[in-house]
Amino acid sequence: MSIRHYRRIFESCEPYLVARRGVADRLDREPLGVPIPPANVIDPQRLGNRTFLRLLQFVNDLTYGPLGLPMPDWVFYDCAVMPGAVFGFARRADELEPWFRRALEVPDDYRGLVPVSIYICIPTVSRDAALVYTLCSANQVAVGIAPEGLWRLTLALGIRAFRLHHMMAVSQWRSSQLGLFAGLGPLELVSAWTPAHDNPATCTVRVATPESAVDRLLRGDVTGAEGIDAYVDADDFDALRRLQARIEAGTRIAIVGPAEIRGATTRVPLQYRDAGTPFELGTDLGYTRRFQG
Amino acid sequence: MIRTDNDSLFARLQTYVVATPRNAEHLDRAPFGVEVDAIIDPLRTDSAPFLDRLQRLDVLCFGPEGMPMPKWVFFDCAELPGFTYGFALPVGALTDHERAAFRLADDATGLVPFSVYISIPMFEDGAWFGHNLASLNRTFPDRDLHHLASITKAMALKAFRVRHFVGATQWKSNALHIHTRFGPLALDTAFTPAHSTAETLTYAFEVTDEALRAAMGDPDVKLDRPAPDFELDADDVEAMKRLQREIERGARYQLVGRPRVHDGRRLHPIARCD
Repeated sequence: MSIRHYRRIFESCEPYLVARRGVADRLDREPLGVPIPPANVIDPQRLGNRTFLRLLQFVNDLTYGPLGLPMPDWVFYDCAVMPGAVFGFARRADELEPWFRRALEVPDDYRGLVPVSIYICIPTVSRDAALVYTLCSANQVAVGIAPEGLWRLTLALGIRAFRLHHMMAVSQWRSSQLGLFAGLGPLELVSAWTPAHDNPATCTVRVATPESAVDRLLRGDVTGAEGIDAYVDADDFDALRRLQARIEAGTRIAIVGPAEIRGATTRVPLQYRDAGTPFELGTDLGYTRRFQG
Repeated sequence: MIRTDNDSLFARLQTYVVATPRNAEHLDRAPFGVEVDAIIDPLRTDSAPFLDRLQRLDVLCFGPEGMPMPKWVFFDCAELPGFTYGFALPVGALTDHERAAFRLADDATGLVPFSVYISIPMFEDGAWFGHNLASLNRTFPDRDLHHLASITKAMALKAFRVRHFVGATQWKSNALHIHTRFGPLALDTAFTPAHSTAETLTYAFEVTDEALRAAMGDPDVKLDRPAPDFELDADDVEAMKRLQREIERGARYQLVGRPRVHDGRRLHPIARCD
């Protein structure tokens, strides 16, 4: 597929995997034909991997900390690398520009891998979908640390590495991450207003991730206006609550594209369907409108 | 019927599970014949008061100096992927002191959790990781909630249909003796830099009804425990690192019982496995 458009990333970045021994063998170690070097498969339970794991948590804190959602170290261990695994891209420490080493607090004597993107995936009880609760790139906080498209490529290869057929994700309505996920296809809303989260203006989505969805994501397709039944204002909390009430009453609602931002207004395109009726994408998909991430 | 160290808990408290509708289909709704009284859907807005009380329970048990769980962690790393099981009381059954501790409004209704156990599935089929155990036994001593934590964990593992269990805790944890009630624990790590507290062990055991009954205090069940080969001091970080290096080289060890305290030192019994 159109992975060739991402070749600039491979010139400076290498894929890595953080997984326990029992998990690493179950994953696709060559997602979309991109081999994860055996030396880049990191066992989180070994003493020697301490520095890389610290850097990983530091990048996570840099990207999620400002949102008030930092991940305590114990959560990283108990709720990420023990039940699931982490995929991402990294750069070699001795190839990094000095400003980047400072930004990520890379130890002076460290010569190993430095993570620049993170995709954390864990199983769910039902096993019919896995949950992705962290997807970030160092580009979000220090543009230029890695080439454009890293976020998108990390998501695409992460999905393939974990052999997912359905993915669940949690995102704030204003987050551009939601637009990235929408590149896979219709995001069925499991919750639209989530009081159980620190930020109730959070939605939970579920999306099918067949090969065609990953291809679509990598191409950057978005749906046309004909697939949209309504928009919701991402900053209108009453509207989000009403959406949640409709979901709880049984209406099926999906996000069918990245948000449209005009001035200070963020509008997220939605599609409504009855039970049993599948969500659809428009037919004239293509390259006329693009969302980058 | 099960027999435990505190059978009265089943008569005095209700049981609950937090589970999404998709996950709830996989639940044993009557572990050891004890019906789950309430299933809370974390995706519904009317579940918010109970979920807030769960977080309050976490704070009451561990306090700000412990490892309190942010709300997003409850949601992303417990309620969505896994199950939460525990014992609870209706608001009306709480004393004024207990209501104040939970900061309940005058018009509050519904259940208030008095214990919680959270576990999430791992990649391996039947394997689960437990990441939170809390009970208000010590917070509300007048309630006679002794053994609530171990009974909650055992009931939870049965309800979740866990076959292989993995957990992580600190060598100095006051709760470690609860985990050893389930039998000998295989040591996956003895020193864990990836955790907030590197002096953490990762342990595992096969979940059987006998192990769960033993943990709850059934006098008819006795678990075999190997004799220890040596003891690990909960303050001896270098010994933990040495043990960890041996584990990384392929050696296998078990934690075979509760710690003993000698001259102010907490000593854990460890056995080598063939």
